Amino acid sequence: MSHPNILNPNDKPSGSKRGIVYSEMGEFDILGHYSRLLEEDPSKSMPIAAIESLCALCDGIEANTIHELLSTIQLGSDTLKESVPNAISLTAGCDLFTRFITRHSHDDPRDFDTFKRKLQSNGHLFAQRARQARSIVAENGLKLFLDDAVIFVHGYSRCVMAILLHAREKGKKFKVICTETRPSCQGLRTARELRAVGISVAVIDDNAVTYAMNKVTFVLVGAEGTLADASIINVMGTQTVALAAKNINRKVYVATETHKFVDMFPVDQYMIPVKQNVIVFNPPGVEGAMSQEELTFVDYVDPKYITSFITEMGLMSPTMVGDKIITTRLEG
Amino acid sequence: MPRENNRSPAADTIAEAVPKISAVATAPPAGSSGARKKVSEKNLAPSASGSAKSPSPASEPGKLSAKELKEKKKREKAERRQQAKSDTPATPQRPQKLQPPKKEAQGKGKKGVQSTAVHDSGIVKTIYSQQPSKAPAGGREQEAIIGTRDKDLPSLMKELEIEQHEKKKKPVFGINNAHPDVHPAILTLGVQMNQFLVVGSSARCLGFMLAMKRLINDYECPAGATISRHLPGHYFSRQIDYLISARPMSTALGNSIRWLKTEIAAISPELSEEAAKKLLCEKIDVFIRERLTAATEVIVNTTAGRYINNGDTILIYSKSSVIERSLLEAHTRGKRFKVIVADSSHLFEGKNSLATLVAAGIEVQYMKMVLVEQNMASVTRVLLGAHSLQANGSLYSRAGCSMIARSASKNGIPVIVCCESIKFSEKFTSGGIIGNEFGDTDVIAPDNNCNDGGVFEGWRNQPTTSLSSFMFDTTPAKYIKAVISEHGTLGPTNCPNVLRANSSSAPLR
Repeated sequence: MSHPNILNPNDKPSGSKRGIVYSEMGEFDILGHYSRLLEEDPSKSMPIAAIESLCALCDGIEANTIHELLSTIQLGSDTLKESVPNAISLTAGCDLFTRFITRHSHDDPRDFDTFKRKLQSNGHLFAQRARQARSIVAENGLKLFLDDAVIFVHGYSRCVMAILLHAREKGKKFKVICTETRPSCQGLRTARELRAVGISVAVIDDNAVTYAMNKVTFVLVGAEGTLADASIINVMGTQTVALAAKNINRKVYVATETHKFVDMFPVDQYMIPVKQNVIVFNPPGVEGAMSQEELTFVDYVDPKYITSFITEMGLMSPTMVGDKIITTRLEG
Repeated sequence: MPRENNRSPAADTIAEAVPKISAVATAPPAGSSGARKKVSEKNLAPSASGSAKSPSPASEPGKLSAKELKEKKKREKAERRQQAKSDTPATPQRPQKLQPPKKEAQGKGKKGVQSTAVHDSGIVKTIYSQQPSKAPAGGREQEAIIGTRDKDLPSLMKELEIEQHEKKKKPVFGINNAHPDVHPAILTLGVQMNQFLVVGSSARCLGFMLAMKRLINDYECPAGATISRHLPGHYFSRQIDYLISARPMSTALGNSIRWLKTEIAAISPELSEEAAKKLLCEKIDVFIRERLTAATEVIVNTTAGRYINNGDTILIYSKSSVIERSLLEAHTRGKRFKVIVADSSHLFEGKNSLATLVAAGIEVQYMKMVLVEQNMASVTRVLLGAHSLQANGSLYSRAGCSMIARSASKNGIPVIVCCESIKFSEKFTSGGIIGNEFGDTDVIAPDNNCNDGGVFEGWRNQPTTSLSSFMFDTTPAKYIKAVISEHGTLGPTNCPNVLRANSSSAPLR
């Protein structure tokens, strides 16, 4: 995929497009690759797509030294992060991959070709493992199901779907209450897919969260990213759901793979690194709420509302999640 | 009087001592120290004839083996325990007995050191007789423990008092009381610490490291010893004992002392003295740079860069150098924000912060701590400095932090603690009493209030009244949102991870 025209990263062409890696070794449309991956397989989550894109970048660019390879990966992940408005879960994937490569870069520095091949195969292996994580999460989530549970779901999460579908396969009896999650209507997608396999689903209005909460056994939500203080970033409204659950002492479980753990530490919802205009005073020409483009708005859920995390490493308390992320940082 | 003397002088001593002992409780303070000495001699006397003679320094020069010493001490301890028990009948009369020396103490000055030493020992004995489990520690009561308290404290705090005096073996502070081995640099530092000229935890740590550098430069290893064995021994602990007498140990200081001792002990014996000293000084420099200077730099950068934003209103409490610097840094980076400085007695350090921030042109509001609650709604961040961060994530810091953090956290305002990892402790205490430090009660009850007509008139003579002024308090981890250290931002409960990582990767090589 390398291009013949060699470009200096410092003087990008004036018409340089978003999401393309320009380096001395050639250029690579990493954003294009990334979005193609997501389009091809709707069940693929963003961190995995990011990891696979970086793998493809390694394959596609002719690096001759370890330094070149590492800087290319760094450049690639920076480019990718910049090119999407909400880069949280993508950051998780990129950071994980970069750390993985960096750690192995000291293995055998003499024979670069072998090293590169090994790295690439490791990278692919890594991506594959990350994909498998979800089925382990589904297995681990099974332990939560009591008979005739009523599970509250908000938004659409692949991990949550995996758990619910797996539980259904195993013959667990449960019902699901699901919000519409307007305006993206992710909840309708959840309901549609669950009903298709014969699970009873009640879809409720977003405003009816507290009304429905008393009927609920536990809340199960996914996460776009899990941050170092064990807070999560998820579709707007998750904090409301968590608060409503906490108010009457319902458990809140977060289903997520550990490759979505990100080393960021915002102290409140306004510090999350997502550019979104939720609160705008007197916007010209807009009467209702601010419209959400491309992506939906995201919400920050404080760890004090979260009971535990269902990950491929088992059930983890928020403290354990924080420990895990910090330990990774200190080792890194 | 040398103990090895034959029997008749010893008997004389006893005879001399007995009336004084009986008078101890009521004796004027002037005689007390003498009396105490005699007490100890009397205690020793029975055993002295047997044990004290044998290890005479002349017969076995320098070889008073550690074992023998220990045994001797044990015997002495047992003796004293016996003594303490036999004293118990005196307990009921304690209140009456204790008052006269106290009055005397008032007459002498604010800190009736000598007199209260007597009254302390009275308390100590009483309590030990009730709690025999604590008796082993009682052996130390003969050491000159400080008794700056003018008044008995309520029961809980009495425990603290005992703990402070016993566990920490706090000797009387003063250059006159310092061991001759204490280095002048340490002497100066001790005075500075005692007079609250060097106050902050990091400042004390830095001061200690610099003083130790001077000490190591001046140090000469005695013949026949190696620096790695001799320096961390008695010589070192004398410096530390002196510093502890000046002010109780802080976590940062404790951590750095432990580090330094390990480093000294790790010095190869093959190294020449000069080389070893040079190496140590270099290591101290690296330590200062990595754990103090650079760490602060990183924290300042993180705080100013990420956690102070345009339009913020930041509440700070009292004074913390790292927070002050963060605010100044954020200001120089062109961020527009407002600062509220909350302050309270008894050091009123917030005024220093106020002066610095005003001089820099930052918009500042200054208020007493009691008003913080009312103004909390307009605050967006609370930044707190730390004295130490405990293993369970609770913050141990200037008294008042707990109240501020609680109030902020109840209002949904994130509380951020800036703390170098040298201040992380692997211990934790429940509640803020144990290990706390007493401030000067004179600040609560200034002399002019104690005089005729003052609100505190005669409080020292009221058996039921006591004043306490704690220096620190404990803020539970649940009120703290984030801890900014040189290892990045952590949750408060993640701090032990840093300690673990630090110890396993053997830093500062």
